[in-house]
Amino acid sequence: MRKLNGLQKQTLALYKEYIKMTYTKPVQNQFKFKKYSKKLFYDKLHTIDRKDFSTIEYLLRFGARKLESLQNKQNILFYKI
Amino acid sequence: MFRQVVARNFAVRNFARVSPQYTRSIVPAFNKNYTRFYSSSVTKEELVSNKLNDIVKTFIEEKGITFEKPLTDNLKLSEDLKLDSLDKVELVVAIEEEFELEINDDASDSFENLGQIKKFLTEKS
Repeated sequence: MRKLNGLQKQTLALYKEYIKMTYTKPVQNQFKFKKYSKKLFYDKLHTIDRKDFSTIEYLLRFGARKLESLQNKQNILFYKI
Repeated sequence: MFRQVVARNFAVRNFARVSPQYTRSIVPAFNKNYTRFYSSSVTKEELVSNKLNDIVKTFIEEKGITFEKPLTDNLKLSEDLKLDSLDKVELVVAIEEEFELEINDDASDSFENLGQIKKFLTEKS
C-alpha cells in the first residue's frame, strides 16, 4: 500500500469526523447526513489533481467550517443547511 | 349506561378469578419440561470475530457489494472487497461505535485484511 502524504491524512481525518458526526444525529436522519458528507468528498475525488495543494487546503478549511455547523446539536433535521 | 358496563366487566373479571375452569382455558399450562442453561464457552476471540463479521456484512450490504464467499482472516479490504480509503474510514468508525473504543489514524491506516483488525480488537477490548 502506498504511504499517504500529509494532506491525504488530513482529508481522511476530516472524513472520519464527518462520519462520526452522523452517528450523533437521530437514527432516522442519519442517512441524510451521511449522504451529504459522502457527496462533499466524492464529488471532488476525480476533479482535483493530487498536487493541487492550494485547492485541497482551501477545501479542507471549507470542510472544517461546514463540519462545525453540522455538529451543532440543534441541527437534527438537516434542512437548515 | 357506563355503570352497567363497568359492573359487567367487573363481574366477568371476578368470574375469571373465581372459576378455575375459566382460568384454565385462557392461561397456558406451565411448561413442565425443565430446560437447563449452560454458560457459553465462547472465547473472547470468537466473540470479537462474530461481532466484526456482522459489522462487515452489514457494511457490505449497505454498499451494495456482492461478495458471497465466507469472510476469512485473509480477506483483503482493498482488493477483495474493493474498498477505497474513504470506505475504510467508514468501516473503522462503524467498528469504533460498535466496540466503543478509539482507533487512532496510524492503526487504522495499517489495516489491510480482516485478521489484522481482529488481532487489534482482541488486544484492545
